[in-house]
Amino acid sequence: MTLLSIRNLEVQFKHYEGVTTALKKISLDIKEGEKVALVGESGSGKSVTARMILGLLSNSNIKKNGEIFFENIDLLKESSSQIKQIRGNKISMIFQDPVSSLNPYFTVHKQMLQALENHTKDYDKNTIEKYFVDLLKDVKIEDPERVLNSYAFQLSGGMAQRVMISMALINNPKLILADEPTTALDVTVQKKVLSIMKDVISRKKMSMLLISHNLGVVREFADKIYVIYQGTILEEGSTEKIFNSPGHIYTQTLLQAIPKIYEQLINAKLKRHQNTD
Amino acid sequence: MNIKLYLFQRLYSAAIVLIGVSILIFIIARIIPGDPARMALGPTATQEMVEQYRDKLHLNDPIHVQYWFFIKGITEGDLGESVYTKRNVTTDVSTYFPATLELIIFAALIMVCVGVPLGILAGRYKDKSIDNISRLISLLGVVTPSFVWAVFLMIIFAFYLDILPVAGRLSQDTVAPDKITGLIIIDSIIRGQFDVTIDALKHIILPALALSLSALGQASRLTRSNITEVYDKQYIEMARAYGYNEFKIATKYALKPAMIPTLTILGLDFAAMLGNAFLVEFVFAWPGIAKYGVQAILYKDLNAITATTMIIATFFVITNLIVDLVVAYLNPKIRLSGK
Repeated sequence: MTLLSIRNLEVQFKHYEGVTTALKKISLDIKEGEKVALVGESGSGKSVTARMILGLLSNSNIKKNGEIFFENIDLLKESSSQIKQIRGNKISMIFQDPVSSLNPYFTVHKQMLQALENHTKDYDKNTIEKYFVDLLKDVKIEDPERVLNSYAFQLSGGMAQRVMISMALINNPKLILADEPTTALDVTVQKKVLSIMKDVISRKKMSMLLISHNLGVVREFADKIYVIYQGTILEEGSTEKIFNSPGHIYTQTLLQAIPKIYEQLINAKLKRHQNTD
Repeated sequence: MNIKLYLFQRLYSAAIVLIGVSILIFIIARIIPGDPARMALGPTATQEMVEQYRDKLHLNDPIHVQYWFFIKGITEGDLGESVYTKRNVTTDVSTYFPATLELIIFAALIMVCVGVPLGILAGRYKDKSIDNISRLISLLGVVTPSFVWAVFLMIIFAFYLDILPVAGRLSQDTVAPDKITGLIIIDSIIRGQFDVTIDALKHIILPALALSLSALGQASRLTRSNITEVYDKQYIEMARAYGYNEFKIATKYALKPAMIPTLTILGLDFAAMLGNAFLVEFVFAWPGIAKYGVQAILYKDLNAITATTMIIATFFVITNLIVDLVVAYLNPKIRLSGK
């Protein structure tokens, strides 16, 4: 069943020099339990798409057209109080820079509690601690008690992003939007966080929209890929199809942009052999 | 960092500041031209009387000996005699200081209760009409000297509308409650004389408002700029994405990060009011320490000058210390550093 369906979404920003069209009638579907990736270079409109879903860009200078159906209601036409009911509850979001996404003046525990309280008023105070600890254990945090009482600046980037992932899970959302969730992390941590995220989301049977510029990340993660360029969706298809037989020339160029580390390694090794010989 | 160690360091540097200020003001008061003894006794006194008086004030001793007498006096709680009021400076200060303290506490309350919310609104609704109104109010507050406000307020509320008294701390037929803290409003509440409380409140509104308006403008502008900065942070967007309501974001989630840098400046503003109160005290005939201090300078009343300056400096140092401790407590980065 389709969980989220974007139909002909058009977004324009009005500013002093005129009008910029950020999204040109894009359409996108996410089924229940499906992991979808939206791939493109910076400025292509990936992040705008995610923010439109949650209504985070609400400003008189923004003109929007089209529909975003989530569980058969049009999010673009909902009142802001209704959208607030959905935010962090049925749809939650993971941001790019985990350390600055957490408020530096409140502990992790306080922020998790607040994320919960925004939607659930009657929870059992005695078991809530254990619930948080379990959520943190889900993302393979080994000392959840310490992390709960920490501030963002006391956590490493990878740790903070794992906290963000568990925070996204608090209200058992149906859909998680992840906007470049591993870009701010260093490469060794990236892979770990990614596999933790994939694991926990598959286990809880949630859907996900992963936004990334990194095809390497996407390949390991997504069932389906949308390629976006300058506000237009150029190509869509299963991960296998996109990687094996990319249709659009832009997709082919994107694929070529993945560094061929193995080839380079082998060449370097060969050279070293030749030099020693 | 250990909070006790932090406190100790701060107290230590506070002591050094106070000793430095005392030496400086002691010397400056004595190099201003004019003979204090002659000014105190008037032109008709004979040279002999003046010499005698100079001896009494230790003015014929070398300056370090004078300083020694001064420090000895402080330890005994005796700040010497005022040549102008002819009373002990300690007595004078203990009557005048609470009056100003009451005034500036009230002014600070207005500054925080009006200035900060105004700044939050302006920062939250940046470039909207509410922001423009708030900025206009703040700018008017900052650019208009407090004595102009004092005269304005006096003309409007005490003369045309005639709803508030024009001068003093209490009406003439009201008797001040027996002294406990010296702050009439608090003393009268403690003693249960609520009619006195109301009379005192009526008297304090106008001077406190006049004194607070420029600080209020500052507070609002500062809060606005800090709030705007915080609103651009990622964690505010994240809060929205997790369904926080805007009121909670403004009053808690964004306010705490924005207020921590603001607090330090507000503390300094509060302490600075003690000295700045002079013009307002003058216009409203408020028997406060700032007015007393300026009179002391005009009459070259050495002991009173030194005492007033020392009180203002001490007050500054203490306020600063308290604010720093509060900030250190509120800011986890400082509180937890080194742990």
